[in-house]
Amino acid sequence: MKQVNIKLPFRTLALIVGLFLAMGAFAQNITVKGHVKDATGEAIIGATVRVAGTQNATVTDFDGNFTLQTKQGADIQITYVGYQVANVKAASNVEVTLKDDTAVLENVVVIGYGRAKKSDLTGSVTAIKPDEKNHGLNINAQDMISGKIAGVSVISGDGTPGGGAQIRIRGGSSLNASNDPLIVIDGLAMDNYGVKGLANPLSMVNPNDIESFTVLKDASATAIYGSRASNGVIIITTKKGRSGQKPTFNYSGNMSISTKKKTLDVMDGPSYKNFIKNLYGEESAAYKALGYLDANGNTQYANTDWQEEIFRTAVSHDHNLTMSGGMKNMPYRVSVGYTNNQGILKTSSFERFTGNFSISPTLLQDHLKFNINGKGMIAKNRYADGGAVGSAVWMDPTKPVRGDNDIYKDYFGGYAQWYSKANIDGAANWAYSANSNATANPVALLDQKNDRATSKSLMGNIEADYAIHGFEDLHLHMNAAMDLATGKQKTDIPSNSYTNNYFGTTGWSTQDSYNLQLSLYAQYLKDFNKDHHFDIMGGYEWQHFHRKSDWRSYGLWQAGNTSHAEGDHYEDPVETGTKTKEETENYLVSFFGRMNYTYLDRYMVTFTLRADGSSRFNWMKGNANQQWGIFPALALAWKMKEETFLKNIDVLSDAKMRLGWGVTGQQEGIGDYTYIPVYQPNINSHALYPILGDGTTYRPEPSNPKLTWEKTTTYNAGLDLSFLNNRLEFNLDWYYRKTTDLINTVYVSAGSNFKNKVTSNIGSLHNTGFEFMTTVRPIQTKDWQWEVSYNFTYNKNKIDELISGEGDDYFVETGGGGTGTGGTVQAHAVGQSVSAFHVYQQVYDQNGNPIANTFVDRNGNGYLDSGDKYYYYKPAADVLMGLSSKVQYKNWDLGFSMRASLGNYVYNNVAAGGMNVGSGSVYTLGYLGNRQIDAVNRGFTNPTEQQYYSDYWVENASFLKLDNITLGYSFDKLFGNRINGRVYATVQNVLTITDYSGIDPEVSSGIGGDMYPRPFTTILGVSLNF
Amino acid sequence: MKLRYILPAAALACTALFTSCLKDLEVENINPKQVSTFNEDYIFNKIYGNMVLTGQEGPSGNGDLDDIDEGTSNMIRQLWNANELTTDEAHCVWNDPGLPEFNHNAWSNTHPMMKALYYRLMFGVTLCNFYLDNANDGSASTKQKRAEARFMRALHYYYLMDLYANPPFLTKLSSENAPQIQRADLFKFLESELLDIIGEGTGDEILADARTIEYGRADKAAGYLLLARMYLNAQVYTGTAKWAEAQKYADKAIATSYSLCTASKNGFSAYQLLFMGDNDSNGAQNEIILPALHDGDQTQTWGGCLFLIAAMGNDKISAADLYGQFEADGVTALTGYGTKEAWAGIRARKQFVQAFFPGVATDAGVPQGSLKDLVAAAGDDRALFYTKGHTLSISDETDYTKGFPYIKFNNIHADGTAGHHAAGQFVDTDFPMLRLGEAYLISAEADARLNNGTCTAAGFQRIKDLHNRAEIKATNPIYSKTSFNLEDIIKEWSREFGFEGQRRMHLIRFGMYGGQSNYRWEWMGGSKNGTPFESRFNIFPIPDTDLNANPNMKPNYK
Repeated sequence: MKQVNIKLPFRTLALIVGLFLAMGAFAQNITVKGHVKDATGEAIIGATVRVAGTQNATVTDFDGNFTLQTKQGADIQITYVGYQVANVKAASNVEVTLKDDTAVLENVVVIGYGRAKKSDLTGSVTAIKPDEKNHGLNINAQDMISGKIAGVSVISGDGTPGGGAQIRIRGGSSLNASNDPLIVIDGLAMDNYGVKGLANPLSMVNPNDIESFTVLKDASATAIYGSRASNGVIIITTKKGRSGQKPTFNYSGNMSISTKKKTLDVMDGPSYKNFIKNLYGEESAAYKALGYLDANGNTQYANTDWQEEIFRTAVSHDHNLTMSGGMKNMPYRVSVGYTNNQGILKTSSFERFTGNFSISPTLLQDHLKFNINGKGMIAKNRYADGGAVGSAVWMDPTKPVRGDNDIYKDYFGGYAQWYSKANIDGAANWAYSANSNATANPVALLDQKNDRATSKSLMGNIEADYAIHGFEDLHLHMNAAMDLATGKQKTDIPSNSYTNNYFGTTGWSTQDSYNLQLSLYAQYLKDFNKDHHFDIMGGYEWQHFHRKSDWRSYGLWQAGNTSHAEGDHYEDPVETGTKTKEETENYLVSFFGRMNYTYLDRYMVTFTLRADGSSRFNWMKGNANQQWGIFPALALAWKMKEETFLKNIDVLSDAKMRLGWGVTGQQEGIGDYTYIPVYQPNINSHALYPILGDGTTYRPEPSNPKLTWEKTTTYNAGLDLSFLNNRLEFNLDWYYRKTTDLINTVYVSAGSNFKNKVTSNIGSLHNTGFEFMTTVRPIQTKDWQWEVSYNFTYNKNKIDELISGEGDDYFVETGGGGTGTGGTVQAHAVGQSVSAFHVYQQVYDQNGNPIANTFVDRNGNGYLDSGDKYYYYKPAADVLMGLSSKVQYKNWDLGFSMRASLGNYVYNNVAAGGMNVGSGSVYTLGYLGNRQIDAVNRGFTNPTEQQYYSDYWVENASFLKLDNITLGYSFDKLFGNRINGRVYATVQNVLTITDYSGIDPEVSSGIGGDMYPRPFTTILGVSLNF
Repeated sequence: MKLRYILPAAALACTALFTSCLKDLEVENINPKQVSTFNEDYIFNKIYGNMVLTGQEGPSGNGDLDDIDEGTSNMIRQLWNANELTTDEAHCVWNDPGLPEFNHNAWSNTHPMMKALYYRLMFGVTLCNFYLDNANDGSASTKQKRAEARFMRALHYYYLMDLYANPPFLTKLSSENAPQIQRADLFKFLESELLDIIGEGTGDEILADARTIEYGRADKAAGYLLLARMYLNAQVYTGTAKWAEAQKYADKAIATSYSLCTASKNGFSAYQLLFMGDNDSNGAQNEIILPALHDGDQTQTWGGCLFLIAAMGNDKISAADLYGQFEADGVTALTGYGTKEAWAGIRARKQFVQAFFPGVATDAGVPQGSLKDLVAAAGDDRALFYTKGHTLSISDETDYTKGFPYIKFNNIHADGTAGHHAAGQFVDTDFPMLRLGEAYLISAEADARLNNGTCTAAGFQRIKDLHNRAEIKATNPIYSKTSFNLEDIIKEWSREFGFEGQRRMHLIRFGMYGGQSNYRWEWMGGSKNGTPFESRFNIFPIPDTDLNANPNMKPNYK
């Protein structure tokens, strides 16, 4: 745009405003007195009252009253944020009731660096407001979107209180690089470090403070976030107050009871004893190792159900108190929350305090708007030793939890343990010690480990938006944000424990991180006559991420030692000083811009461009600079409904078609310095080799100077339809996403680097998918309201190219497996899905039972080798569905949410790891291990390495889950009009239908290991407004 | 406020901001745990340390290799497994993936332990290449250290040649895919390399004279002995025998100031002293040419000698058992070995016991007792079996009471001092990678090979020297032998070097391994009485991961 064109409209505007003011002075006026209130009769403070088309305006006072001079019968317009605009004719006395405009609120969507009307969106963007009435237990923010959005999969890690979740948007575009979406909270892009003691950045926000989630799915929407956006973006905004509103209070709280749902079938005491007798004979050492000695030295046999002993019925509660309102032009909201979540695994608990405030003052006649947010959080975690879940399956059922036996009492705090003779320097008084090869008593593991963490975080941002005086079409926007987090974990284990017998352990570890961000952008909005609308934005962003950690841990010499003083530290790393400390940082510098152009409110074009510079890639001399990347996107939308041929079709309320293309990047999930060659000195004083000097060893670390980010190109086509005055809504999206320069840690040619595996850019893959969302409101009457939402996602991915190896047989091993010495059951290979299972084909007998160590010689070379492995299914689901329903009848509401996942497979690692029921395995290394009844029936007594890599263990883990059912009752006149609110009861994790034989089919990695089970929970809650 | 002022001001502010911010992208590594400067000595320590250490945090936590259990990635542990479990000497009752395949001579190219060993050895080669690329100050001491680094590279390549035949081959660090070298060509390279560093070539990077540098570092004797071992097996590696060269370099090693350990101490025989916690100072250090140093505090690992000691054990054996007494039954540990770790997994196979008790086929032929009893019964200090509660034959290959524990290595200090690890787990016992005794047997075997299969007087005396050190009693039939032929020598290798991680190469050299059906041992080829297995198992396959990542690598067999 030329300079002259800027000046011209500016001067014209000033002239026009001046004319209006002059006109006002000559008119014949009356005094209008009025009162503005909301639907409940509450006075509205600070509403703007304006004579239409003039600058003649005022605001309502504390009682909702105003006076205004204007011509009789002039149009008066009353506006207030969150309410529909009201128009009245000027009269000496007017009374106005403003209607809540939830529709207006819902139609404004937060997008990257700005907001947009939902109807003007050109990309695939889904915004949801948390459903206040139909949800389960929301400990973390991700719980609120699980199953609610097409293309978004949320899989909670396990049942750990306060635990995290894996969130995938459209199936993940990466292999080894992170597939986590970028999370932006009130404008601040979060780091990937997390907080010590917390699962993920979403844990920092109290779900009750969340106003909305916006999920940006396709590249035309996400490209504005450039190098971090390949896996989608989730934007979270927190709630604000409303200007002029009287202070209102809300209390919401709930109480819940959780229990375990399912355990594995293992042998009980008597059947185990019988099993050992049959396997080894009554004279065997194995048989003699059964049971325990009582105080009189007689052998006793317990019958302990270890899986029963480690769990409990857990009670949790949650409270939130919010005050919000507006002091004149300064809306505010303050909230405090407290969560106390007990885990069903004994000793585990999660406690969180949150505080949150926001103020949004407006200055200079609405020209300068501030938005200031602060969020504080203190979380206290008590971790249960997760090993107890696995130990409970393996522990000998003929052992008691505690036994009246001198060795148990003297060395193990009374708990039954497998022990052996001790051999500790100067400790003749400590005759026995734990058999470190054996299974630990799971109850003792829990009771004796005091492992707790305190995490604190403080997030804040100051956002300023200035509409330039005299040139209001141009806004300058600034957001300065920070996120500080600190966490400390302390672990104490006594000297009579299994894991740290004699010395015990005392230790701590800390992690501190900060993330600073400054964003500046300017936005220019302009309508050139009615047909052309421009919205141009350009900006700059700087972000700095920093993390450091430290730890210390040591045991103590006990009393009575003849070589060491009691209380002296054992294995204390303080001697090696800084070797415990770690520190890392990275920077991101970006320039970005977006242009929206709308013609006739029908045809829309959006173009975005971001240039990102990242310190995670090579800048050093002698290398090509890999730091900068350009991420463009283009989207087109056509509001068909506005066309004349559809305008008069009443049954169609809205119709829009969208097309998008864009390029995004991914640089998470790798280290900050993978391109810088460094040496790793020995970390403790037990990795020395004393021939020169003190024996210090340096290991050169692998580095990859060529590493660069992944790039994903996305094509998206979408259709939004709505019928019958929005009672029937449909959103359809098809997409194709191609990722190149995939980052993965892969085997490299032996001898070519300092490790067998190095992080490299190795190939490309694509995802194709289809998403469908619908909301149906079959009944909308005064008493009855029924809303049903359903979403369907189909996604398929395929690896197209892996460049570091050649030939059809090339693959990249990935994932874990059922063995103690490494090895994987999954691989990435060209033409296959990501992380496909790479296994041998089991041979079965006539009755359909697997024949041990017998596999199909698929390559026909006469013997079994790696060439016989084949690709067999994959962990990601083909189809995800979500269904939720909510019925309201007068004051009652009833809702439920269901989810289905089809075509996801899981390698049952617990079954594979415990398959060996042979005499070489059950009693070995001086202890007895229990087995699953399935394993006994299967009867594998001498499995080879290959048996662990059999397709037999890969199970179809498709499932249907009924996540929650909620019944609520709302009331609005408690204690004489003062209080309204709602009470509700919810059951959560109600039902799972699946063929998977492990504890829970919902396993994000595809490797089903020992898992903290997700509990069944019953919740009673109340929400009160006063 | 006017736009014309705002825009330039903003532009100015932004320019200043951007310039400093763009500079932010040029980060340095701020992690205090890592360093950026090369240190010749510390890399040098790491090269030697690769025999024992598995990572930069002892005993585990920061492993050198990915995708493998760290303790399992230990070099000595897997050299031992590959060379003992696959032969007539040893059997492991554990069921870790990979062990049954070792026991049964039935591995494939996905074998997890052979994969780990391959990458462990190549990591050692890479360290040496890196050191040699960077340590170039021209000083005398650096030249000598360069010779040692070349020796260590040769040692790593020797194992690669022996086990995998045709490994990747690099003498400089390169990020390119390594070319594959053929076994015979690698032999030639190693031969010229070793000759050069013992001073018989043209280079000026020469190993120190025997026993003139720190214990633990390679000197000329190590060069002689490794050459002698290569020449002894030259026919296997190249198709051309080099018996005379084998004898020549074995005799050169014998002529150095190293000597057999012959003096007993505090009730421990001279032979036992070689494998004890203080073998760096109890007299054994005179014989051990290249020790892999172990220290219970400084070099902690879940492999190495801890593995050899803990895995041999039986959870009934106590300290007293080393002196001939038993402890009452009960759940106890083998505190007698100087470590509380008791893994009870590795047992002697019947054929190994028969090397000491010829003709004995049933339990009745062997006394039930501890080491002293068995040593006395055999009339040989090397018969270190523990038999009480165990059977001779491994009738059930997963039962740890079948087969005798062979208690050669322990962590007892002969001088009565305590082990260095306060918690009593990790061991101080150095592993003899090369010891002078081997030169005696190489010399004797080469002598026999050069003389129609029977030793001359010189060769006879070499074996007699070993017998004398082993205090062979008159009751032992080998005491009165007047000549030794090759049949005696392959048994002598077992008696002298049993459980020292060498057996496989001797059997292959004698034609008693894959591809023959005359000699069988229990569980050979996977059956109780032994089944012949194919000759392709005389070498291990190149791991699938490297075939996969490096197109230059061709499989050893289709």
